[in-house]
Amino acid sequence: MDDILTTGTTAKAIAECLREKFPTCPIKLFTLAYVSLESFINLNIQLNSITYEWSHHTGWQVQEDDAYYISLKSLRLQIENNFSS
Amino acid sequence: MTLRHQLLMFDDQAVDHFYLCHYRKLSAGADALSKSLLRFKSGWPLDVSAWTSCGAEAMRSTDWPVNTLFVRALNSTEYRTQLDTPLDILGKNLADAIHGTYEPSALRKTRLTRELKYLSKSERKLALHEVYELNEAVVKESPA
Repeated sequence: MDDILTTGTTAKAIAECLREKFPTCPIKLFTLAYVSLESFINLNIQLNSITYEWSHHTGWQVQEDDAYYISLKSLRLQIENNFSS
Repeated sequence: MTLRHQLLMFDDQAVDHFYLCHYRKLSAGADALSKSLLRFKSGWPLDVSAWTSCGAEAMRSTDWPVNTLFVRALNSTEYRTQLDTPLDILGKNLADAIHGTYEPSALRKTRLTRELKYLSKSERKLALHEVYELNEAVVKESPA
């Protein structure tokens, strides 16, 4: 398990390590998220307000109010709503 | 909640990948969930709680074998697993959700690795080549 799957290199390295010792054991991977470069994902979630900030690493990027979610319940709702999108 | 699923091919081996949502990099204009994931990684309590509880709830809706042993990836600064990181909290909750076992020290690295964030896929592959090893003593003692 990992938090975010990007290129899959880490997952592959771990799978190879596990397969070496347990060649017949099923391996499943769980991550909270999977990187997608597609622009339409997660857009059903309305931004509270949009501003832009310059980053030397990434250039202009969208910034959002820190107080977009104010409680555990509201953040959970956002994650759950994303399931049905 | 139902986990999203895709089949990953690692050389000739297929691995089922389950995940909750997509993540957009900051350079693509991070959305609210992606920003919350970064906070999860940084250990913000509210974000850790939300993602952990959603992950556990989604896990309960799957048919993962009850004797699953959960292991986690180590970050670039970890040589051995540091306990009580957000990933450890997630791992314990996922395992509890299906009556499995979370074994944080089952995996270890043979060397420290470079931070992968700014590396290309080929550079990442080189950095992680044969870096993971299994702590067999821990796995043998695990109930799973």
